[in-house]
Amino acid sequence: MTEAPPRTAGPGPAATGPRLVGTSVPRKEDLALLTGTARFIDDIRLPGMVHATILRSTVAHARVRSIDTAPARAVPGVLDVLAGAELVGKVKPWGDLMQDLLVGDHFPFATDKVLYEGQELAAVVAGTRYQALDGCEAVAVDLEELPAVVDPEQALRPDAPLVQERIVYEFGEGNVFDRYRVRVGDFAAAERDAAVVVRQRFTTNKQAGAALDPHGCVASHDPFTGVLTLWSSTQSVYMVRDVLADVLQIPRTKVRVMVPEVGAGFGSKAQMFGHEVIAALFSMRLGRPVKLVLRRDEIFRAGTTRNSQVRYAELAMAADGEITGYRDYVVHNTGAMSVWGNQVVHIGTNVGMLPYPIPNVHVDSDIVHTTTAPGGPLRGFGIPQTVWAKEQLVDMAARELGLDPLAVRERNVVDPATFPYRTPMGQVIDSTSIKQCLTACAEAIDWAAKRAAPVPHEGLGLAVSMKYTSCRHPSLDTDLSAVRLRLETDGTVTIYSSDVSHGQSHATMLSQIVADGLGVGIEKVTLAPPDSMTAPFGLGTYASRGAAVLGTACRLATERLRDKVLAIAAHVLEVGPGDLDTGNDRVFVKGLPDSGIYLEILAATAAYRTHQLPPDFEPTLETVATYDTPTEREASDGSGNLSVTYSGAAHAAHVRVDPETGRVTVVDYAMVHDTGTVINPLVVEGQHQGGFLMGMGMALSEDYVYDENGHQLNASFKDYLAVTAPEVPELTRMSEIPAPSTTIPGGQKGAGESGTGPVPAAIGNAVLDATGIRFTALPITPQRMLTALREKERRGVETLRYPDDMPDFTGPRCPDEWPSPTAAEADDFDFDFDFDLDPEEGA
Amino acid sequence: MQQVTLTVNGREVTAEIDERTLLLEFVREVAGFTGAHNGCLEARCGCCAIEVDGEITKSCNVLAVQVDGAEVTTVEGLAPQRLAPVEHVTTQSLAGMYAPLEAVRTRAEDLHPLQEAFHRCHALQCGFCTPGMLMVLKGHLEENPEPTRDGVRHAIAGNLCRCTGYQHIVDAAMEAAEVMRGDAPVPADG
Amino acid sequence: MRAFTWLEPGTTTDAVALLREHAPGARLIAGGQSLLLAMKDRTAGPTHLVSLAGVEGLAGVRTADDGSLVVGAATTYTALTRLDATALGGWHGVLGAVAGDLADRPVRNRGTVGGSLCTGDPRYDVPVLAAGVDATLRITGAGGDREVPATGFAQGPGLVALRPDEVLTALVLPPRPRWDAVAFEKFRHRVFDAAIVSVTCALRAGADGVAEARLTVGGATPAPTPVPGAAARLVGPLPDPDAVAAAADAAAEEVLPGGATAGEAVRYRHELVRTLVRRAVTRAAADLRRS
Repeated sequence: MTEAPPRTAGPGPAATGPRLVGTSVPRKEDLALLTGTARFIDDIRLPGMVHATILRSTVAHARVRSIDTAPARAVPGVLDVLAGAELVGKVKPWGDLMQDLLVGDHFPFATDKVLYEGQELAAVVAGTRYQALDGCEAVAVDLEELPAVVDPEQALRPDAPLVQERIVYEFGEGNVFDRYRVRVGDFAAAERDAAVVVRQRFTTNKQAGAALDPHGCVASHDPFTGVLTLWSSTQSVYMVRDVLADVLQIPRTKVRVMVPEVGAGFGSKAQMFGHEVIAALFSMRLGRPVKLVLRRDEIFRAGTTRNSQVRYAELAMAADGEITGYRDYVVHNTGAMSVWGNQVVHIGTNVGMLPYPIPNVHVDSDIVHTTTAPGGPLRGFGIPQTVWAKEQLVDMAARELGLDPLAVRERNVVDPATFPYRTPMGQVIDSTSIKQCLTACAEAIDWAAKRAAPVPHEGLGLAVSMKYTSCRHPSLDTDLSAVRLRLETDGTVTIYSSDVSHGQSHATMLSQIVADGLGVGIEKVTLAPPDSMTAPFGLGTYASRGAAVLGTACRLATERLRDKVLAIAAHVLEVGPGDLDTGNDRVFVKGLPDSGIYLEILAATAAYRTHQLPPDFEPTLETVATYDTPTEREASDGSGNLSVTYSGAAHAAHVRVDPETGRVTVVDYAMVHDTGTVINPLVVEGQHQGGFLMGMGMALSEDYVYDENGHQLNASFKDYLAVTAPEVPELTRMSEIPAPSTTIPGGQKGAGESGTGPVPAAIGNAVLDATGIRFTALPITPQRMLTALREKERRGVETLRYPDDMPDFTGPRCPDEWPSPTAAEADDFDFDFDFDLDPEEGA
Repeated sequence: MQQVTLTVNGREVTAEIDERTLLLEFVREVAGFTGAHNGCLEARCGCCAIEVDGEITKSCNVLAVQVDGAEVTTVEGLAPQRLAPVEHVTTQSLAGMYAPLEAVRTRAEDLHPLQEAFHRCHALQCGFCTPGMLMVLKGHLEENPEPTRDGVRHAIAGNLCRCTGYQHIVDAAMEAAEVMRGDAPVPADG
Repeated sequence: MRAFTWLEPGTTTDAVALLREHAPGARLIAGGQSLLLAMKDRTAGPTHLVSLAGVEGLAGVRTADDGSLVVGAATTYTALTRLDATALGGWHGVLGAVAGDLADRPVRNRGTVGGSLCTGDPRYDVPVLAAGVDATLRITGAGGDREVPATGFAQGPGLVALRPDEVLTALVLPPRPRWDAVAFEKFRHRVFDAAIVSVTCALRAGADGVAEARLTVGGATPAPTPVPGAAARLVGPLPDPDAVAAAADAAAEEVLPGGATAGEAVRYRHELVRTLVRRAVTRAAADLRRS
C-alpha cells in the first residue's frame, strides 16, 4: 500500500471567525441559476454562429451502401455537409484513448457499417437549425440492414451477428471485447463447507443518465491563430481536449476547451463524443462558430447508458450466517462501443463485494458487444448491478437458514478491530462505520417492530454497499486532480480547477476549504470557470472524486498559499512565521486577532512592492497543488485497493404492492451513510437524495426497451419512465455516521454515488417480503409485478423467483450448465401494445 | 414569415419570424431571455415552463404565432432588477462573517420567496430544471396558499429533476408558501 | 418541424373554407399540445395550420335548454376545472375532475377538449368519458352541420371520423337525468402519463337498483370500446361485490377476448380492465346508493 501524503494535518481552523467546513453554507452557485442568468451550452451565442445537426441511423445494424450528401447541399441555407467516407484517413479514430486498451472503435460517422441505432451517418450545418434539419432530411442514405443482436447472451453465441468486424481484440474474440476474472481464495472449498449455497440468475437494465441539459457544444476555430475553442457540456475538460486534439491531429495548445454551466451528467458526459468532433470540423472548414446541441431522442439513442448485465451469481454461507464465498459469471453488455465498458465491470465487481470481506471470490466476466447504445459510466459505476445480485443472495441465504437478514448483515459487514484493514479482495478500509449505519438504518425504518406485525402486501428490505471514492481505474493509471490558487491584489482569491462542477457545488465546497485555510471570508473566494488554457490538469468530475480528491488538492494549494502569505507577513512584522496566524482576512500575531496586516496588503506587496519582500521570495501569491491518490493498480487475480477510501451506505425500503395493478410504491425509505468528514451537510444530503432517485428509477421504471431489430421504443421522456416527484417517498429518514477517512487529509469520502448502490436491492428484498416474489430482473414494473403475482397464484406456491425460477438448481461448474432462463417479456410501456390498425392511416 | 409581438418580462418585442418558431425559441433567441431551457422539446421535462398571460405554459410546445400579443413572464421576470449575481464583496469589514442572503438583499430585495427558499433549502444542484420548477410552483402557490407536500409533488409531476430527488424542492415550496402567506418572517439567513 | 403557412380564421365557416382551399395538407390547431409534438419530430407535416384560437364561440361551456351540457371544442382543460357546481352539476362534474387530473397544469392550460377528441389517441381520457356517458359531438363542415355519437368517433390511433373539411365544434354531454352516477377510473405509470387503461361506468337508477348501465374501456383497444354485455349484468338490484367482480371479468373478456392467456402486455391490460371496471362500478354504485 502506498503511503498517504506526509502532511496529514491541515492548516487548521482560522483562529477567529467561524469554521465553514462542516456547515451548510448556502451555495455560491445558486443566484445565477435561480435568476436565469446562468449560461448553459445552448445559451451561448457568438457573432456569425451557424447551426449543425446530425443525421443518425434509424436502424441498428447495417452495411452502408452509400450516403449521398449532394441533395443536402442544395437545400436553402445549407453551408456544408459531412459524411463518413470523406473523413477516413483524415481524422483519427478514438475510443478509450486514456486507457491501455486503445481500441479506436469511435469515428465521427459510420463508414462501412452501422453498429447501433442513432449512430452518426452525416451532418449538416446551416444558417438556422431548421435549415440544417431540412438538409439532413435531404441526405440520401442507402443501408443494407443486417440482423441485430440486442441480448448480450445471444451475442456470445458463435452464430451471432458480429458487431465490430474490423477490430481484433487482444483479450476477446467474436463479440467479446474483453474478459475479466477474479480468483481470490478458494470458492470450491467454500462451497463444499457451506451450510447453504444460494444461486440465481439476475439481470439488470440499461438506464439513462438523462441529464436534463442536453449534450452539446459550440466550436469556434480562429483561422488566424489556429486555435480551436470548444465550449462543451462535459464532465471533463482535459479528456475532451486531449482526445479531440489527437483525433484532429493538432497540438494540445491549439485546442481550448471551456465549459459553461453543465446541467448534470451522472457519468453520461465523461468522455468525448462524435458531435464535438463534427462541430470542430465544421468550424475549421467554414471559419465560423458552429453550435451543435443534441435533441433528446439523439441523447437516448447515441448517448451512453448504464451497462446491463446478466449475473449467474452464487453465495455460500455458513450455518451461523457467515458469508464464506461468492461466485459469479457476468455477461456485461457494453453496447456497440467500448466506453469505459471494461472498467465498469472491474470496479463494480471489486468494490461491489463490499461491505463484506468475503474470503473466497471467483468471478468470470465476458464483456460483450451488442447492437445497442454504448454502455458506459452511470452513477454507481457497476456497483448497483453487483449489489442487486449479491444483496438479494444474502437475503435468500439468510431465509434458507432461518436467520434475520439484519443479523446476517451485522455479522458480516466489515468491522475490523484496527484500521487500516485489508480485505481479501484487497480493499484497504481506512475507516468505516458501516455496521453502525446498518443498525441505525434498521432502527430508522423500525425493522423489528414492523417485521413483528406484517401488513398484507407490504414488506421491508435491507441492503448495504460501499462506494469507492474516486478510483485508480485498472487501465487508467492515474487518479489526480489539481487546483491553482491566486490571492489577488485586493485580498480576494481565485480558484482554478479543470474538474467541472455540474451540480456538485464545487464553488461552495472549495471556497469553504480556502476560507478556512486562509482565514479569508468566503464571499472573497471565487471559482473560475473551467478552461483548459488556464486551469491545471485534472481528470474531471466523476467517480465521487470532488470533495475528496479535488478537495485535497485545494487543501494542499491553500496550505502552500498560506505559507507564502505568512512568510511575507513574518518579514514585514519581523517575527517568525510560527508566531503568526490568519483570520478575518488578516495575518496577525497569535493572540492579537484584532490587529495584523490585511491579506490585500500582503498580496499587493507581493505583486506591486516586490522590494519589500523577503530576500529570495518569488513574487506574486499563486500556488498549485496536485493530489494523486495512493491507490493500487489491479492485481492479476482481480484483487487490489482501487480506491483511496470507501463511503458506506445502509438502506432500508418499505414498499407496498397493489395486488390489483402491480404498482410497487416505496412508502418509506431510510438511508444512513458514512461519507467521512462532510464539508457541506446540506449538499451531501442532496447528493444522497439524488442518488436514491436514480436507484429508484433503476429498480422500478427506467430501462431501454428495444425491439428485436435493435430499435429503441422509448427514446423520449414520454416513454422513458424517469422518476417524478409524486412517486418519491419523503426522504427524511436520513443520517450520517461519519467515520472520517484517515488517508484523505481532510477526512472526506465520496458522496455522489453512495446513495444509489443499495437501492434496487433494498427494494427487491422488500418486494420479496411483501409478495413472496423474488425478482430477478430489473426494473420491477407494474406489468411484471402483476404477471408474477398471477403466476405465483397459478402455481399455488409460497415463494416464486420471477422471471427466472430456478430454486432447486444445485449449481453449475461452468456457465453452460445453468438452466436456460425464462426471459421476462418486453415491457409494459404503452407504446409496445400492438394495435391492429395501421397507424399510418391516421397520420 | 410572420410578424409577432410579445411582451416579455415587461419589454415589448416585435419580430418577423419563421412560423415554426416555438415560443421557447422566441423567448430565448429573439427576446434574449435564456432562463427558460430546452430539455426535451416534447413538453415532458418542464424546463421551459413560463407564464403566458398569467397561465403557466410549456413554451416548447407552443408556437410563437399562437400567442401573438401575449404577456410573457420568464424566470428572469421573478426578480426583475437582478441582472448579475453578487459574487464579489471587497470591503474589509465583512471579514469573517458570512451571510450571503443579506449581501444579496442589499442589492436585490425582491428575489421571489421561492428563489430564496430554493437557495436556503438547497433545492437545486445543476440548476437546469430550476427555472421551470420556480415558474410552475409560483402558479401553484398563488392558487394554493396553503399547499400540502403531496399537492406540491403533483404540481411538479410534469417537471423532471434528475439531481435532487425532489425532497428539497418540496421543502422549499412549503417554506416559500409560508413566506408568501406572511406567516413566516423572511429568514435572516441559511 | 417542416415549414407551413399560418392561418387565423374568425369563424368556423372561414375555417372550413380554408381547410377546403388548402386540402389535403391543411390541419386544424387548437391548443396544439398533441399536434405540435408530432410536427416537431416530423411525423406530421401540415402545409397549412388553421388556428381555432380566434374562432368565435368555440370556447366555453353552457347548459342548453334541454339540460345537456355543451362544451365548446376549444375549451381548455383548465377552464373546465374552474367551473363550479352550478355550471357542472351532478355527474357533469366528472368532466371537470377528469380534466383536472391529466398531464400537468401547463398542458391543461393549453390542451382542449376538442384536441383530445380529435387526436384519436386511445389513451386519452376525455374520449373515454365522452363515449362512456353516451355524449354526442357537433361537427360543422362544407356539407353542413351534423351531430354524431361520441362512441365510434375514434376509430384507431390517430384516426377519427372527421372529414378533412370538417370542424368539431362541441362535445355535448346528455342532460343530467340521463345518468344518476358516473365514475371514471384509470391507471397510469406516472401522474403525468397517459392512461394505460381507463374505464367509465355510467349508471341510471331504477325502482330497486340499476335500470341502465354503460361501461366503456379505453387504452386496451385502438379506440374507446363499450362493453354492453358486461354492463347488462349490472342491471337489476345494486350489485354486490361478487356481481361487480363478475361484471369486471366479463368486461375484460369482452374487450380483450382471450386476453388472460395472451402475451404479457395484453394479459396485463386484461387484468387492468378487471381492476378498473371493478373500481369504477363500485364507486358508481356507492354514489347511486347514496343518492
